[in-house]
Amino acid sequence: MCLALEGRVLEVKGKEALVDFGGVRRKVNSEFLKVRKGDKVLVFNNFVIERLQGG
Amino acid sequence: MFRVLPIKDKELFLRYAIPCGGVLVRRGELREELLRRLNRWVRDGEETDLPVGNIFKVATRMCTILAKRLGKNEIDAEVIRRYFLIEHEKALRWRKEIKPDLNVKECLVYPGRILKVSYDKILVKTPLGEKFFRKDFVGNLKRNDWVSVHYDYVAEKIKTSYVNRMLKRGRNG
Repeated sequence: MCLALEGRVLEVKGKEALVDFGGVRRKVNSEFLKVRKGDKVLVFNNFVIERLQGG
Repeated sequence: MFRVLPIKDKELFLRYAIPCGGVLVRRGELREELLRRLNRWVRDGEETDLPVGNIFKVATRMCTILAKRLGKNEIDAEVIRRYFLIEHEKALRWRKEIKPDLNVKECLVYPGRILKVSYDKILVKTPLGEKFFRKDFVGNLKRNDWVSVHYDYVAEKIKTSYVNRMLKRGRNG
């Protein structure tokens, strides 16, 4: 559980989102939770699992 | 909205999730009293209706994703073991690529062989070395049994097929 990371969605394309993790960018799977550009999200092993408040 | 699937085997889920509870308490994400109640639930078989999915949100959501990918509509024992025994390692590698400075080795579940069983503790040899673990959640274990360990707890006795997969991942890691 301590392995999840918070990041900010920069771009969404289909079921994939480009997320910024404090300067490191990764394409992650967002098929299980719809996200939008600017959302603050919690990501675990490349899957978006939660939209965080304050996003 | 993320719809989580129901957890079929809550006791097994908690055997693996409770050991992470100390970290959640330190972060202020879980009350210590609640963690004690969860512990009693598994250790003493006390009936309770605590919302496990809300308490261990990350694990429940990842188990939901794994279950859906396996075509299941609930989080069963196979999904729980797959998440805690196998997927955790992948998550560690993924996270290390992004935040390499973080030491999260302790978060992982490891296989281990029992060296000695005493009244309240079990000495287990794991890939990290020999260490005494709590035996709150397990009974009827003996020397040479293979078990899974998480933080300070023995979670359960495991099959050699899981042991081999976990040891293999370590060699490849």
